[in-house]
Amino acid sequence: MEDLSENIIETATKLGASYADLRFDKIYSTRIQVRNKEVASFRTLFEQGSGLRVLVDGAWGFTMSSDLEKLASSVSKAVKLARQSASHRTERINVEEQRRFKSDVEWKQKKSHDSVGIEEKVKFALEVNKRPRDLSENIVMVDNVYFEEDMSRWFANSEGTFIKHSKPVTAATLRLVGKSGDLIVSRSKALGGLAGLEAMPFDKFLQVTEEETRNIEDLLKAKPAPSGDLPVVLNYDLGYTLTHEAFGHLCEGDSILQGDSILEGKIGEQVASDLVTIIDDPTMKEATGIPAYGSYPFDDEGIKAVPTTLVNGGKLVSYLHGRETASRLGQEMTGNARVENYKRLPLVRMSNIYIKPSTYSEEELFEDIQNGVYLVDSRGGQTTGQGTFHVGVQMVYLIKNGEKGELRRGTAIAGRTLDTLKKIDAVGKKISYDIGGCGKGDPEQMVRCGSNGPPIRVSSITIGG
Amino acid sequence: MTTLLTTGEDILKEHRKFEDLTATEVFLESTITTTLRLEQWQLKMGETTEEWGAAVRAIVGKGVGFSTFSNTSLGSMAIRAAVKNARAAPPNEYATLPSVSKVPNVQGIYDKKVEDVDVEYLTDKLLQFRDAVDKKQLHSVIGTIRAIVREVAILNTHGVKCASKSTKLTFSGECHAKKGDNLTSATATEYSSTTRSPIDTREIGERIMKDALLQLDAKKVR
Repeated sequence: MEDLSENIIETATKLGASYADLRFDKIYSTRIQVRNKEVASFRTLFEQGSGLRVLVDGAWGFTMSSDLEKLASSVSKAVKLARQSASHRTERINVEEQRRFKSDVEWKQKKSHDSVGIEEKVKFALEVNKRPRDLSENIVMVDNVYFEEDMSRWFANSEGTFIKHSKPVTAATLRLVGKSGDLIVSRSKALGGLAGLEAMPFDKFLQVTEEETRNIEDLLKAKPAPSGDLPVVLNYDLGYTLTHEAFGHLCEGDSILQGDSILEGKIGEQVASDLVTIIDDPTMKEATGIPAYGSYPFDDEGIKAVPTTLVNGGKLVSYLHGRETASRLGQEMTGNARVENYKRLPLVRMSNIYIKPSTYSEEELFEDIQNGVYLVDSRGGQTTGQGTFHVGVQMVYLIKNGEKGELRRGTAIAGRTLDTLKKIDAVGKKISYDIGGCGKGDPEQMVRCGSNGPPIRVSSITIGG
Repeated sequence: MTTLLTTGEDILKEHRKFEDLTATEVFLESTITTTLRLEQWQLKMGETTEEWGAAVRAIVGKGVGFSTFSNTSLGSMAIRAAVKNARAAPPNEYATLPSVSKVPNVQGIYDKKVEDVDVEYLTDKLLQFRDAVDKKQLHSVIGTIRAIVREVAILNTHGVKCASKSTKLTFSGECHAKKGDNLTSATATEYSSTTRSPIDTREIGERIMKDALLQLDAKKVR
């Protein structure tokens, strides 16, 4: 592998590339999806291939193939396309030379995927689907997925870096819909991590399934959520959604360069309350010691992963960068270039973005609210580069006189991101860890991100908007 | 196309080795894409990709198993996995495959000129978009143009054996306008299967620039 990639990169540099990098992926995954008692999809994926990126005369060229030998013969095409772009550029793209690494990192499985037969995994997936209907007559739809993946990625570049990283993924997801009369409610939940089966114990997920069935029953009896501008406590998942979707994307260097972020030119300015510190940390580990879902040892441009503080005491202190955006904006590299797989070019992405926990217990977050709501778990939404958000909420609890009270049905919150971040008046002390994904680009690339963070309190947010 | 059908036949042959197999279907796809991207008024990147993929659906009794693979060298493993999955799957009453029927010939989805399209043609289209928008009035523009050639083949043990080839040109454009802290954007995506009805990137540029600028002076909802 190392010799072949070196040869391809050498060919690229001989043809005129000032920088070249190559990614080779080998992926094996199994996915079992059960919907309403039937196996809706049961597939095993075998994928391998490689992508080569070249920088020629200040413009990028890219080529990919599922066959590494074939890739060698298309190097000249990538160089030609880069030259074509370069001939219509006045400003040259440069990347600064970075530290060279030779590394082989393997994130091991304590309980390997092979230790449980496929028949047992099918049985588990079918049982997850059956359990809610056994417990409640009001369940009208159950959709659940079991997923496991073993992936290895090799990275080589013209600076002499050569990295291999192998990691396992195990996850399960559940979506429940309940109905009573004309009322329809839903819940969704996921469990898993970058590890073997120890990240997703079958019995634990069955417990989650039972809890969510009870939540459906409770939601069917609940009244609608209140609407208007109210003080709120956002649970970790909604706090994360606000941090990642509404704010984090605005910090990505490519969004800044493309002129699609209201944070352009705002380094050093107050963008959140002074209680807020926001960090993106690809080295983060969960409480169990398993790497958080968006973690990686090196990014997909061969840069060693490090935590990046984006907001410190409410002030914007950094954007997120890959090689190109750091160079073009004249800022420090942060190691946030990621690809979904070998077929795509690296984009600037978050890893595990979170608000730094503070000192408040959940009860203390409620204490000062006379009339407000506790919002639990996000469900889809929309954010814009212009700094607005609209996010669905799965469950709502009333807060009266500092106490968490009656459950109400799901709703939505909306607002302007920076105004909302400036209204955060307390941050919880307990950080929770969850699994998440993020889509970006054209064609869209999905990458794994840790959905982590503490609960936060916002003095006022628009509910039902 | 011939290559895809030949590979598909080889996969079906390999499947016949499994004695308990009831039926098998193979779907193959090959996509060659040439992409040029414009950012901040300048061409930024050119890309050529050759994606190849195959999927096998195996039926054992009433159980259905599925596998996909990206390289012919992975075919044997993927076939075994599809059969293994089918054996482990619970019965599915819809576990059947279609039989031979007349294969329709869809007109107008393939244009040799798109398959052989010159990079210069794509460059000109992108530059027409760029030149149609007013640099002084806008904050930034992004444009992406693609020429796509896609071949697919589907074969099964019930005699289905067909293949098709199609082409597509796609263009997506994005304009951003800014006044103080007010940032607006407008986007458009269009496609055509042939160069005979070309995408008018100049018109798209003029249209979305107008949309982005119009929003600048609009009042906020609340």
